[in-house]
Amino acid sequence: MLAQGFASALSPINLLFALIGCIAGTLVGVLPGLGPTAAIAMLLPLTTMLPPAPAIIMMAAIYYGAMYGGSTTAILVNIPGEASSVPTAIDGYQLNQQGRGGPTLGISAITSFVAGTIGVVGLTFFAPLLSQVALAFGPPEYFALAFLGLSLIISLSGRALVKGILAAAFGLLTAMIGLDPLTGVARLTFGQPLLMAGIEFVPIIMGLFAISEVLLNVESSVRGILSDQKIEWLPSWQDLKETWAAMLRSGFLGFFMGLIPGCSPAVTSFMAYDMEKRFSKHPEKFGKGAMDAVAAVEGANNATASGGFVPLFSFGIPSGPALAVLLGGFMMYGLQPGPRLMTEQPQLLWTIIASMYIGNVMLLILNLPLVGVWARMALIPFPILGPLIVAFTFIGAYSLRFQMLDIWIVLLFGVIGYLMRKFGFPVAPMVLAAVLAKMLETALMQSLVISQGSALIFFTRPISVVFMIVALFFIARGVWLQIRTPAANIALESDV
Amino acid sequence: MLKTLRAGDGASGVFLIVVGAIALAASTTIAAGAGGRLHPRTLPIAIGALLVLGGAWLIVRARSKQYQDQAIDWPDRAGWRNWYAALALMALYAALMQALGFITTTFIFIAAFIWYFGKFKPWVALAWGFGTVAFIYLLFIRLLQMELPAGWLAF
Repeated sequence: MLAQGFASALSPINLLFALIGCIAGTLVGVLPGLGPTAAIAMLLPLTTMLPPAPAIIMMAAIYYGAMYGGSTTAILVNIPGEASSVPTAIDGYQLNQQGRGGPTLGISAITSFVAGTIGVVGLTFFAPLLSQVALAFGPPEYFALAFLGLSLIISLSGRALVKGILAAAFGLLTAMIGLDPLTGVARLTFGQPLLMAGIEFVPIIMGLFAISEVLLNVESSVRGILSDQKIEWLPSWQDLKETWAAMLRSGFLGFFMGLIPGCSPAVTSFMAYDMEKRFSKHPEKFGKGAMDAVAAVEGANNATASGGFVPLFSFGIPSGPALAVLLGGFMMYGLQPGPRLMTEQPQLLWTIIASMYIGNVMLLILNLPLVGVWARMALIPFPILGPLIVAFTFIGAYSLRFQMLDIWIVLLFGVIGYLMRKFGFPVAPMVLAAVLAKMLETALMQSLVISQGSALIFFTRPISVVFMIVALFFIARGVWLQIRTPAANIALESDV
Repeated sequence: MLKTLRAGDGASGVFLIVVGAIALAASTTIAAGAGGRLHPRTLPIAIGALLVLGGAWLIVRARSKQYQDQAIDWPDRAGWRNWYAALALMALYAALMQALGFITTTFIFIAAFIWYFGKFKPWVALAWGFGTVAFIYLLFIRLLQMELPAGWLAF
């Protein structure tokens, strides 16, 4: 069936629309804030004149193509357009400042190809089998997964554990502004109707990273991100040798996490960052410019995107908003993804899967030559680059809900991010907490309804108990390390 | 001025106590919802309390004799002038966006920023401003049909 799928995917019209999707996806990924969901939604009406195969191939290519491009601004100008690119920005931007922006972008593109391919191979051979795993996830498992994600705060805080926990608490509190997820009661809105819809985490991320970066640069009259004109363009064999294991590890992690509906690439990318820090021969480099950190995050990011197609194709369950819009694309053609699609439209399904192999190759060919073009951005004088960063950040924030409130949030968190850096508060735990808050709280409330108020539900189900034990182990280990070395508790600087 | 991390931790502690106290006070008025086993105010109260306690811990720790202090790398006088100028420009950009429109304010902001911080000739700053808004107009407004604030251009 896959061979027939390739025959169909290699037809000129399908190839053309895969290419259009890959280019659009890369562009969407590069532009901060303009995510694949909005791009697919905008293009959906335009695809009505096309047959289903090229239309869905193009929309799928936008989705996984955006994952390739998402790292570019995070690495070059410290703007993570999506939460999943935050760990990329931590080390990628440091590498760029060291004149290694080109090789970092190259590694990011190669990792995206490797992990994307792992994801598509997994989708090809294990979709029906693995999708059973996804169905085993209920609210207790989601809570345990979010709790496991939150436990990574210990690792992300480095030596500033107390400050990391407080930053995370501040992030959680911010996410609780708005309506209670289960009962719909307004919380912490202070009677302001604008706050009813809550605060999105994307403007928070943009402020914490992009605007605070601008403020840091203007205070020291920086002339450019790179003061030295010598920059490297492509990754060396040494870079590839150092990162290949991280690519594979994160590719597999990302794919398996992608099977879980609702598990966003953001959660997986933080997990991959933490996992790689434990595997790495030089964990001390993490946060200061580790190439394997970038490879791990990008690998997990892309493989999660591919893994998300498994529950979509097998059961019609979208893993996130972008795949939900893609599901809408299927339904527009009268197709219902799920077991029936596999039996009634196998030709179409395998054409789409085959096109993903081709799309990943296209993206690698597109992205590697672009590395040099993007890397030159580091040579633009900062007085020119700075306002461009601000303008595109504002567009990205505004486009989320078309509200001025989001632009003011960007500015507010820009100042908060600046002060956090000066006072040695790690920023990543705050982002992680803000991203996980909704999933954590919703799953907690639903689980307690199921168990009639008993918290033991998290320890009586096999998947959730494993996540809870691992999370508690991470927390206990982190606290023990802090107690054993009390001097480190008095943080002079944060690692991340 | 908070010259060292010790002073910075003290100030951060006070800030977090204030934020936590506001959250606690605001949480007491949250009404009970129907259908949930957990009161909607439980988590905000828990986090507010954590912030208050954590803030107090930061203050206590900052006063400890074992605290390894370090100077904060603040900018010099010229640096602060630039910092305030950049923040004021960004705030003005946001404040005028609805009235003047995204395109107009972006043009003014980019040209002003480049001229002030880059010390370029005015025509260079204006050219960058014009080029950027042309790109934004073509890509975001014409091609992607994004509804950015139109301001006075909406007539």
